[in-house]
Amino acid sequence: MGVPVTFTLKLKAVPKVLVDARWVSPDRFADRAIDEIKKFRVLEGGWETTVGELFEVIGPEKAPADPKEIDIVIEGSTSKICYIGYKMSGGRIVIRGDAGHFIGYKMRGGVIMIHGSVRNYLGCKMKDGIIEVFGNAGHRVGSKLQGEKPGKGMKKGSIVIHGNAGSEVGLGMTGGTIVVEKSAGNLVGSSMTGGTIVVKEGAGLYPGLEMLGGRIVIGGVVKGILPSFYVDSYIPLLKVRGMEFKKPFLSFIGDAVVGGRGFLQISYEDNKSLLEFYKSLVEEV
Amino acid sequence: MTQIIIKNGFVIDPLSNIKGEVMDIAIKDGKIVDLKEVDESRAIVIDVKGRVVMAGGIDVHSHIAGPKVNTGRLMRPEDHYLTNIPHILPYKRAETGLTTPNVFRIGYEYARMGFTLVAEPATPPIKTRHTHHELNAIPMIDKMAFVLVDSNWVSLDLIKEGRRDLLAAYYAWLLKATKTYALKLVDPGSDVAWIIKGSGLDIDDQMPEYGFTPRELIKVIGDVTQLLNIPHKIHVHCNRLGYPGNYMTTLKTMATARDITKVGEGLAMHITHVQFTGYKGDSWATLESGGEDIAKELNANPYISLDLGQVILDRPVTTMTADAPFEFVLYHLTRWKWFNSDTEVDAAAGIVPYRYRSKSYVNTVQWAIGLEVALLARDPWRIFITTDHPNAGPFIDYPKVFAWLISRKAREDTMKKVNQRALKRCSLPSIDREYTLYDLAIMTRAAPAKLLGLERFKGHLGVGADADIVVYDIDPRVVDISKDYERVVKAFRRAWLVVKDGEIIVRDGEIVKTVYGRTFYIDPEMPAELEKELSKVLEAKFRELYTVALESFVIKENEIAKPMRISTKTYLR
Repeated sequence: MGVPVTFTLKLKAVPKVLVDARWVSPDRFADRAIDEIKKFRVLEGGWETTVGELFEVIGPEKAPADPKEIDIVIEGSTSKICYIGYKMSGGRIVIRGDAGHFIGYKMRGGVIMIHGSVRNYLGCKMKDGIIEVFGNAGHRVGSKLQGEKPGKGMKKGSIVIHGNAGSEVGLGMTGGTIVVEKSAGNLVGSSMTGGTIVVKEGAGLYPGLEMLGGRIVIGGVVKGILPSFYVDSYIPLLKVRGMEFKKPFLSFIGDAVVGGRGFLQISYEDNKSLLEFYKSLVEEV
Repeated sequence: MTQIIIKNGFVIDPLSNIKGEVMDIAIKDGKIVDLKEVDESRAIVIDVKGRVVMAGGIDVHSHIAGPKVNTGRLMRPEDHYLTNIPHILPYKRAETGLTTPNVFRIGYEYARMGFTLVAEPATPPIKTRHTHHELNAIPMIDKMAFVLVDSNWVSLDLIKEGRRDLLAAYYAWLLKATKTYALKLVDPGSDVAWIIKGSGLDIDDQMPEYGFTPRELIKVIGDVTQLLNIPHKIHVHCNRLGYPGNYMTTLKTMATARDITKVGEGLAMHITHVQFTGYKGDSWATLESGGEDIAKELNANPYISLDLGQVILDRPVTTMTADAPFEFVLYHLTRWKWFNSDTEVDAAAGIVPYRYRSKSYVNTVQWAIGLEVALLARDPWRIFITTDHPNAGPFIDYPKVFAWLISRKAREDTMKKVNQRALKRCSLPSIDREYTLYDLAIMTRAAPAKLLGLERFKGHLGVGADADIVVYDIDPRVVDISKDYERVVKAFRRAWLVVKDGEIIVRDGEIVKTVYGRTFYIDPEMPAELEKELSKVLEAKFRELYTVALESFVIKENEIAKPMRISTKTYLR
C-alpha cells in the first residue's frame, strides 16, 4: 500500500440547514479526478448543490483506485453536515469541527476521527471500522433505526467517545465495542443482543432495557436500574477489553422481560445505596 | 374534454367476447364511444401497434385505507426509510412505503400496473368516516369499501330476535349510512367470542351470549343480501384462518352457499384469501396443501367465487386483519411488534409484521396453495388474483403472480429456490396448466367487474364503458409468454399507457398526471314503513350501545370527494 493522499475540504460558507453529504467518503472519491469530485451531488435542505459549491476542495488531480489510500480532511465543519462516511469501506476521514447526524452510517471499514461534537445516530448500523470522537455525541450511538428488530444495529468495529454521549447508546447493537469516556444518558444498550458498551462515568435511568445479550459496564453513578435484572455476582476488580477498573462491581443478568442473557455490570461503591440490597442477596448464598 | 383514439392495438376484452383482435378504440368525454363520433383531426391519436390493449384492472380485495392501515404505517417506520421517491411538481406527489405505502403511492402504483378500481375489503362501521377520508386522498383509482357486519351487536341482536325483514332494512341502512358497497364477514362471530371469552370460533361452535353458530350467521346474512339484491353479495373470510387443518372449515363454509335461498342474480358468496384457509394437516410441522380439495369444491359449487391471497416469498409484509384472535396467535409466533384493538360494538382488528421466507417449510406450502387453487380451478370467471395486500404480499407484486399462472417455467424457476421438503408434499410441481392472456384479462378485469355488478361500465372496452384503458408493451403474437415470462412481469409492472376516465395518466410506466377517482356506494331502496320501524329500533340501539349519536354516525354524501351512487331494487316488502 502506498502513502495515502489527502483531500482537504474547506467549508466555504456555514450552511443554515442540514446538509446530506453522503458522497463524501473514500469509496466515492476512489479513482475519480478532482473535477468529478467537485461535481458530486450534495443536498442542502432538499436543494441539490455540488461538493464544489459547498467546499473548497484541495487535493491531487486524481484519487487512487483503492479507497484505503485516501484521507479526507474536512476543515471548519459544523453540526449541519450529515451522512459523512456513508457506507465507506476503507481510508480515513478527519473532521475538524462539529458534525451532524448519521456520521458513519452503515460504514464497513476505515477510520473516522471527529475533533468536535457529533449529533444523533453516530455509527448507526455500522458493520466494521473505527470511529473516534473527541467531543460529545448525541443520542443513539451505534444504534439500529427506529422500528427495526433488536440486533439490527452496530455489528462490529469500535466507537470511542472522549466526551459524553446521549441516551440509547448502542440501541439494538449486536457486536463491536462502544466506549464512552465520560457519562451517558438514559437507556444505555437497550434491546442490544451482543457487543460491549463501556461507560467510564455515570449513566442515566435503566441501562439494558430489553437487552438480550452482550455486556454493559458502567463505572459511575446510575440513576436507576430495572427490577427485571437478576443479580449474579460481586466482582472485586473488573477488566474489560484491555481497560481496568480498580473498584468493585456488581454483575446482573437480564433483561428478564424478554428472557435475555446479557450482562450489566455496575460500579458498587458509586451506587451503594441502590445496590446494597442486591449485594446482600449475593452474600447469603 | 379530450378526445383520444387508440389505434391498431391488440385488444383483449372478454366481456365483449374479443379474444385478441386488432382494433381502434375511441374515447370522448371520459367514455368509450363509437369511432364515428370522434373527430380524428382534433383527437389525440396514439398508435399502439404490437401492444396489448385491455380494460383497466380491478382488484377486489386490497387493504388500502382505514384506521388499521394507518396504524400499520405508524407501526412500521422501517418500511419507509429506503422507499422514498421525491415529488415532481406540479403533477406528482411524494411516495413512500412498500407494505404500508402512503396514499399517493397506493394510487400511483396501481395506476402504473394498469389497475383503475380497487376495493378496500374491511372497514368497521363506526370508523368508516376515517376510511372515506383516506379513500378521498388516494389518487388515480376508483375505489369502494366493504363494511364489516359479522360481529356487529345491532345486527346480531336482530338475528337473535328473528326479525329478518328488519335485519335486511338495517343492512340496507348501514350500506347507505356508511357509503359502502358490500357486506364483509371476517371470521364470522369470532370477534364476539374474542371479546367475551378470549378465543376464536369454528364454524359449528356456539357463539357466546347469542346462542347460534357462525354457519347460521353466514346463512342468515346470505339470505338477507339476496333480499337486498346488492350486486356483490357476501365477502367471507372463513373461520379458523391461519390454523393447520382449517381447509375443512373452508369447505363447510363454501357448502353453506348451497343452502342460501337464491332470489337475485349473481354469485351467492365470495370466499376471500383462500390460501390462508386452505391448510391440511394437524400441526405446523405436518402442514400440507388443501388447495386440491378447495379447487374441487369450487368446480362443483356454482354459487361461489374465490380470491387467492397469494403469498409472495421473501418480501416483508404487514398482516392486518379484522380477525383479532388470529393476530394474537401470530404475535406469539413472531414475537416482535403487535397491535390489537376492539372497535366498540362493531369489530376488532390486529396487525403483526411478518416475512415469508422461501426456505421455510410452512411458507413454501402457503405459496403453493394459492397457485394450486388457481391452476386447478376450471372456471376463470370465479377466481381472482389478489395478494390480500399487505397480508400475503404487497400489491406491486401482482405481475409475479401473473407470471406464475401463465408460465410453467416461471413456477419451475421459483420452485428451485424454495423449500424442497415442502414441495414434495404439494401437487404444484405436477400441474402443467398455463393460463393465457385472455384468461388473465378475465381474472383481473371482466370477472371482477361482473362480481361487483359493474359490468355495464367497468371491465370492458365496449361502447358506453368508462374510458379506463391500459396498454401493455407486449405482443403475444410475437413473444412466447410461457417461455419469456420476464417480459410479462416487466410489461405488467409498468403499463405503457393508462387512460383513466378519458385522461392519459401513465405513459411509459411513469405518472404524467394526477387525477382523483370516484368512490362507489350502494343505495338499496327501502319500503317507507320498514324505514320508520327501523329508525325507532336504531335510536334505541344507538342510545344503548354506541358512544356516538345516530345523526353523527351517518356519513353524508358531501363528505366523499367524488361519490358514485348505485341504487338497487330490493325484494323487501
